Amino acid sequence: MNQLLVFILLFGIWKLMTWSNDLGSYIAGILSALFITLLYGKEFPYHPKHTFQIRRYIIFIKFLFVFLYQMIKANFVMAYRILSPGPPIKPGVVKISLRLKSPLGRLILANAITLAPGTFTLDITEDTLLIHWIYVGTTDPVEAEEMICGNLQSILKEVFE
Amino acid sequence: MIDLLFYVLMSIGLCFVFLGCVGLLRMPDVYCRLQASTKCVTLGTGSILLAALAKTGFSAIGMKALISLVFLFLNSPTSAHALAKAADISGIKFWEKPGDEKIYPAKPRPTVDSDIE
Amino acid sequence: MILLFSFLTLCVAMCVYRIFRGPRAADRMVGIDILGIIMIIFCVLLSLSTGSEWYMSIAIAWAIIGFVSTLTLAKFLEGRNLND
Repeated sequence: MNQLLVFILLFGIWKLMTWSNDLGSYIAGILSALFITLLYGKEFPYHPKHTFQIRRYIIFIKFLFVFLYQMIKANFVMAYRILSPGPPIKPGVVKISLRLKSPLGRLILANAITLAPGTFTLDITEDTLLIHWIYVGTTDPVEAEEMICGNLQSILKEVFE
Repeated sequence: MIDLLFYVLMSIGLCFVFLGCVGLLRMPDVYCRLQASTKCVTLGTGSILLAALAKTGFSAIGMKALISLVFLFLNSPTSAHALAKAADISGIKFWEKPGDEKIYPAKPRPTVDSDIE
Repeated sequence: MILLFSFLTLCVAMCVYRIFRGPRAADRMVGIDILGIIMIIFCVLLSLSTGSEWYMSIAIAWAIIGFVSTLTLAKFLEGRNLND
C-alpha cells in the first residue's frame, strides 16, 4: 500500500513534467518510478487512518487560501518598509510555543511563518519556535503567537493530527 | 484577456523582484536583508511562473512552470532558514536603531549571548 | 521582451553589488541565494521568448536542487567567525 502510493505520486509528477503521449515517455516513467519506489518506498510518511479522509484535504485547501492572503499582505507591508526613508524597523527575537507534532506539519508551519508578514523562523526546537520579527510589537509569548501566526497552527493541527 | 492577465502578472512579479533587490541594498543587517529579499523575490518569481502558465495554457511549458512553483515555495524558505541559523550560530549581532531600547532574544543561546552585549 | 531582460539585469547588478560589498560572509551568501532564484526567472523568460521547452526543464532542475548549494554554504559557515 505504502509503495503503491509512492509509485502513483511519482508517476503523476512524471506525467505532469513531460506532458506528452509518447510510448517511450510512458515506459521511461514507469521504469524510473519503479526503481525509486523499490529504493525509498518504505520511508514515505503514510498514516492508514489519515490518508483517505476528504475532510483533511478540504481544510488544507482553506489553509492555502489563508496563507495566500497572508503572503500578499506580507509583500505590501515589506514594500512599505523597504521604500520609506530610514527604514521603520525594530528587529528582535520572540519565542512562541509549538504544539504540532508531525514533521510535515512543522515544515509547512515554519515555511508559512517565513512568508508571513514581517516574521522569520530562526530556530525550531522540541516545543518552541524562535522567530525573528522585523517590527517587534510585543514580547509576551501568547500575544506574539496571536499576532504572528493567527489561526494557522490550529488549522494545521486539524489537518495533520 | 489572456494577454492582459499575462502582462499584469508579469509586471507585478518584476516589480516585487526589483523591490526585493532594493531591500537587499537598503536593510541594515543580515536578518532584515534576508527577510526583505526572500519574501519579495519568492512572491515575484511565483507571479512570473503563473504568468508563464497563463500565456501557454495547459502545455508542457505551463505544467513545468506549475511544478517549479510548488518546489520553489517549499525550498526557498528552507534555504533562507538555514542561512539565518548559520548566521545566528556564528554570532552576528542584531542591528538596533540608535536610541531605542534593546530587545533581547527571549532565550538566547550561549554563542549569541556572549556576542550581543 | 528586451525591456524585461534589461530590468532583470538591473536586479542582478544589485545582487552582485551586495556580493562584492557585503561586510561579512553571511551577506554575500544572501546575495548568492537571491541570484539563484533570479536564474529561474531568466530561464522562464528565455523559454517564453524562444518557445522552447528545454529552458523550462532547466528552471525545474534549478528550483529543485538549487537550494542545496545554499544549504552547503550555510553548513560551512556554521560555527565559524568569518569577518570578511
